[in-house]
Amino acid sequence: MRIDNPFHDGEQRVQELVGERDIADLNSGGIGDRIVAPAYRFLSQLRFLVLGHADAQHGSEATVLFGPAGFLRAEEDGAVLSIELDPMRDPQSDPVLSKLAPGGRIGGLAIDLATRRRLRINGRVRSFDAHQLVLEVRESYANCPKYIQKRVVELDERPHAESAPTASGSELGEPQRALIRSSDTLFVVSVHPSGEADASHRGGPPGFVQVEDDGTLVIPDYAGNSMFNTLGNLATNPRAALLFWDFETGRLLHLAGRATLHLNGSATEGTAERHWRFRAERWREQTLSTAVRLRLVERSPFNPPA
Amino acid sequence: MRLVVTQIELIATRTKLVRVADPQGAPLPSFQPGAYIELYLPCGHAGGSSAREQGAPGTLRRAYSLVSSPHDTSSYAFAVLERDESRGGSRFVHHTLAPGAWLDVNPPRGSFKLAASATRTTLIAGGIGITPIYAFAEALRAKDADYQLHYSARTRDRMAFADALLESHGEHTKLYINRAGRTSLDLAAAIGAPSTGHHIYTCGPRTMIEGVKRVAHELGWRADHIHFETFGPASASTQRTPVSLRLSQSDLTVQVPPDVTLLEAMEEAGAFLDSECRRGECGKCTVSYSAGEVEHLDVCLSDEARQTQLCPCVSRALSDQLTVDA
Repeated sequence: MRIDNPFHDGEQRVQELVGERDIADLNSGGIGDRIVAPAYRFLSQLRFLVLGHADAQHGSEATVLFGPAGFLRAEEDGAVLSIELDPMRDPQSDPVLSKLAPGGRIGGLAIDLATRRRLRINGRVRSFDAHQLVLEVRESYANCPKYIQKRVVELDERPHAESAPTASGSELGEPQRALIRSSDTLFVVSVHPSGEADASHRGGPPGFVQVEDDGTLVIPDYAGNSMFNTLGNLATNPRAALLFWDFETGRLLHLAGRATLHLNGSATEGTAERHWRFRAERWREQTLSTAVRLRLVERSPFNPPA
Repeated sequence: MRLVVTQIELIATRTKLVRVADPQGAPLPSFQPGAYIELYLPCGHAGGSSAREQGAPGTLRRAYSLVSSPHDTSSYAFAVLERDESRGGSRFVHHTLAPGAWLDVNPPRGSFKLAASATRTTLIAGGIGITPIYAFAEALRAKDADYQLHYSARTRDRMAFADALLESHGEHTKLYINRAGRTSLDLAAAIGAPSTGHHIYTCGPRTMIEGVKRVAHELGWRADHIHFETFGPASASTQRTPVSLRLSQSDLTVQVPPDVTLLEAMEEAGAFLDSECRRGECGKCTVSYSAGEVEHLDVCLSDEARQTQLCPCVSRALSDQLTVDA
């Protein structure tokens, strides 16, 4: 079923500010209240899922959950997403799982980098234990393949230690800045004051995110689906979580902080006209224990030149 | 909404200006320069088969750029060129539609719009692609902005709005008539060197848009300063026989008849993908392909990208079989 006028105040405000309300309305036809049947098979092929969550106490958090093909299942006619959890992994060590409770709001992004397909799945926690996380779907829709760098999953046979935070802090150090400056992909979790969370993908040429001397990140906003799910959330609640991922080594950098929008900033060379800035208040770095590694095949043909 | 045709006027060879208004004279929804409206034309036979292309049975959905002033919402005006390859839309407007007729119309919308931050604007139009460009020129003149308009067409008598442009935009406008079947417009000279705040808008045939993008790229322009829109569906396909389309991720094979696009066939088969413009401009339905030959009719992919990817909303298979990663 389609959802009438699915946009909240923040999304509508940004859509109107940039003059793309009409396109957002056109594209909103693809937003459904359950997972569409063509996506069942897509979900069954995936090896990871990006998840975001927020609560008043902790702010926004982002994570990636891994599993064997089939660990994500659409159930009950697409009204439910069931996620099999890794029993070897302590949920308390995960930034999102450690804070989840039944009824909690989740923004999910199912993304296959190899075929550049992605599906947004937003909902609420129905049940949660050490083996399984079950979500009641509220909103689901396909996103386009633009700006996704093509990567294929490769199994890494080397033994890995249990994933654990390897470093954390408040000010970004040089190793963190270097990872951000070399990244061609990031995931962002944003949350409306009502608690509805969104997990979203951003991509570009390596270095598309600039790090200024004081540690402020400058993130360009390329033409998208005009819905402004992320920027709409940020317009109403600046607290966001960012995830940078070194796909080859499994290094993950979690940032939590605040964003400011620059929707018609001056067109300085090297910065997209529309962009947002992010100040990390705390960061945490870990190396994934999972055997999933991803190898770059080809960057998106839609990336602007570096 | 249902509007009534108030006026139809021949403004250039094979080009008619159509004006529509609310039957009770109520003001129409506002719009920005560059916006288009979609008409549901009661043509009897529908060319496309998807729900999106067809409104009710026997109607054909067609989009036309508005050329009337955004400051006057008492009516909308748009120009329609009668095309030889028409699937029925432009033929209907030229030979059947008359003042007093009622039309179902979707409110104006569009992503082809002037950048608020532009300090200088170059407009490039080919043929009936003048329609959104004319709307831009009017808006830029009203703002007393810095702009140049280059307008190329086959013959002078086919140039819609040429008199109005010369009268009101004379010092900003250059017209180019084809010589020996080729445009006399020198794109490199018209585009020139890039500078901060300088934006290009182009609308015309696919070949013109591809030319503008290529030349601008060679001159060092940033892609996000080049804005383009094709007019109507892409050029007629050479596909004459059904194609066997394999969707590798969905593990399905479908037969695609010549009058159905690859995207429509993929949607019909239940493939999982996003789409927006359906004119080969936005790139949202782009998909990887293999095991087949493709006639690329989009304006958004580079030649390099076309080696592995295609826009299924407009591009066609040249081979009997094609596999897409969907």
